[in-house]
Amino acid sequence: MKALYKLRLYLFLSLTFLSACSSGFKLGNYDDPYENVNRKSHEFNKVIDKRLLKPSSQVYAGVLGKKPTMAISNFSKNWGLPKDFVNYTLQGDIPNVSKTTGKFLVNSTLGVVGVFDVAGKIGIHARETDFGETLHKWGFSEGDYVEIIFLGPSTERDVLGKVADLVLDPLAFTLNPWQSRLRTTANIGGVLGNRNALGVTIDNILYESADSYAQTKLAYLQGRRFRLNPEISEVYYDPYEDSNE
Amino acid sequence: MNKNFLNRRCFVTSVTLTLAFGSANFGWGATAKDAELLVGRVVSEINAIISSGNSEPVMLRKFEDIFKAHADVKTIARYALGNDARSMTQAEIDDFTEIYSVYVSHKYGRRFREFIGGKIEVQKSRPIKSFFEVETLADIKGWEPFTVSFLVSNRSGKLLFFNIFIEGINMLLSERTEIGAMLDKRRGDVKKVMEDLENAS
Repeated sequence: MKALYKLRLYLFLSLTFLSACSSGFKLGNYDDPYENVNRKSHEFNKVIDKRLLKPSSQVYAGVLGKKPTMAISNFSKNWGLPKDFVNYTLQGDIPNVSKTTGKFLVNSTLGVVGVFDVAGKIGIHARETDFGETLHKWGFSEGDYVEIIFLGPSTERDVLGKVADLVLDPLAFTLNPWQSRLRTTANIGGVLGNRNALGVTIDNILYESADSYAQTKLAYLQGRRFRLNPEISEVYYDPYEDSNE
Repeated sequence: MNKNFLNRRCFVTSVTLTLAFGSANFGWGATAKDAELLVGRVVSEINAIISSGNSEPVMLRKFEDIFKAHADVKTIARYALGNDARSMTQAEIDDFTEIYSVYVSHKYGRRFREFIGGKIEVQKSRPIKSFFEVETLADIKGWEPFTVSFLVSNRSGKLLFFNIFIEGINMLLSERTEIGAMLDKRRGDVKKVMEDLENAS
């Protein structure tokens, strides 16, 4: 418990520091001051994907088949919902707080500890969230683009969010070691399932493009900005106005 | 089999009808509704392809047909070249446009092929600057529904789409980055890039 307070203190301090450099949206901005370091991590991550993640995701999906992989992903998502609940509460997003609660209650009971997404079938779709989004809602800028080994593409704000989510997750301190291990295993399954389901798109970006680093960065930043701010996520280029721009 | 046939006939008839009614408007300046109709046609054709059960090469050829019929391939190709187009002859740009439209329609066709078992539906549209944004929702099994947006313009003289956003990730920007990187790697040699694009299709 003491460690928890320490982490919270760190979190508070880093937030204070981050607020000093927040500067609103970075629409259409793809500046990359850490490019040199980022490219090195990118090459490392590509090797990890090629040697480990991609082949194991294929074995995983091949051996288990569609329904079991789906069940494991559902289970993993379900036990991540309490973290979403905390974040939506911090964001003051009441509709999503109730959707997340509803989904968690329905799937944990009728959905047999989250193995089946019964909530989705009856139309309760709760989108995932994280502390990076909470920071965004609080007005923090995304900071600079970073690619981090094992973690992949992110931004300074979202990395901080990921660290904070480890602390904010109510289950992180309430599950017993056995339950915790089960959840971690399911989470790994979820990652493998995602890698397999997005196979063509990810392979295309990583292995078939002329500059996989640039494509990864573009896809991440655009996808993330769209998720956090769907109405104004991108500068709309008008190719009829400035075809040479 | 019979049911499929009926669906196809119904589909072809409705496409022909919408085309007939839609084309009457073009000379008069398009509306958001026209843009919605165009994207409605495009996504119903995409839905028909991904539910057809055809082999990948057949599907890709059909995606190519959709792209060539409903996308402003000239503008899309020109945008991908960026400044490099300035030093090219018109004949070179035309060659590039042809090869590029096959490449890009197959690339995005492969992505849409991952949507097998799902379908895309038009949600809403709005005018932006001189063009329209039409938002569609892709409902694919195993995923939370996600947005695919099309940007539509009649500036080419015909109502066509010129950009696609899949969950915010836009084709024009990604492809300009890609073609730019290919040109850099080949020291600005467009001919070599075209050869590589043909091989990648």
